[in-house]
Amino acid sequence: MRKNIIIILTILSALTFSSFSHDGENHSSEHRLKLDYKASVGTIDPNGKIIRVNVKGLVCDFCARAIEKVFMKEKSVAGLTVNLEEKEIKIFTKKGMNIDDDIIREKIKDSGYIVSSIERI
Amino acid sequence: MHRLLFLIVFFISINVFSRPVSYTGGTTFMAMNNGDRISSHVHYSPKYFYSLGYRFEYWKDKDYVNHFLQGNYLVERFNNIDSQANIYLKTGIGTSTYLEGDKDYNKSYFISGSADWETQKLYSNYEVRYSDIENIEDFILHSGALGFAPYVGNYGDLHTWVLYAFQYNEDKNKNKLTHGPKLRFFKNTNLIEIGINNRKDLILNLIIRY
Repeated sequence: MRKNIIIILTILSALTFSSFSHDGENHSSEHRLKLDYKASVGTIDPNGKIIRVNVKGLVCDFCARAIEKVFMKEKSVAGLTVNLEEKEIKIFTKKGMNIDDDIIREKIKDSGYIVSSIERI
Repeated sequence: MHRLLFLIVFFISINVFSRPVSYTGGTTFMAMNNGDRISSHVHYSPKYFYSLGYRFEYWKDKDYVNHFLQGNYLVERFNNIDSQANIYLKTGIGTSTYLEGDKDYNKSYFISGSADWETQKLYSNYEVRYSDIENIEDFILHSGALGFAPYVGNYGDLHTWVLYAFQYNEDKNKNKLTHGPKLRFFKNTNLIEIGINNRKDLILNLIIRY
């Protein structure tokens, strides 16, 4: 009986440890993911959200500056990065803040472009 | 006095952006020295598809200046995955006067249509403009440019374009057609264009966008 209890406790401990360690790995990789990004403007809040937006018509650096101007007026935005090659922007929100898809579409339109897709990382 | 005025306007308004409309809430300043005239244009875009502003022009050959209240309207924008194209209408109404001699202010207006298309490697634009300057002249002016980027830079890099520009004035007896190469460099919100045309006029545009 005592042996069985020890075995069960050992298995449970192992599972618990495994679970914690897996969770820890997720956190770690998510943190690494954020560290891999560099904001073109503003900053990256490690506790904020990352929103990837694919944009049609994003061909000119000079014109794309409008996106910076428009989005950096938003209170929820900590920073953003623009990738002309991939035709995408990444919006970095502040901790505990979000920005709706409809607002993103409207802001991109105000910048002179059209959203083709929005993905929350 | 007028010479001083246009020099001041030219050198102050080097903060320019060549598009006739900006982003919603954006203010744009532009100035150009393109051979036959020096001009500057300041506009504000209440929405991304139109802007209102002021244009100043000094036409060198006839030595007169124009002051226009100008409206610009984005008729259509084609946003594609790898390209963008635009069609604009522009119009201005105002007054014009010679710098020397008869200094009466004359009514004047212009209307123009323009189109551009660009990718990360190719660029083209064309504009046709009709101007009616009472007691001075009226003319139709065609202008445009074709160009390519020798390399494709990413956001924040120094971008370089090689362009060939032309201008054709239907109503001139001589120098109807001017053309020549120019180089465009920009990084972030700073842009400079430098070139020369077949009349050996210097083309110099300095641009900063806010």
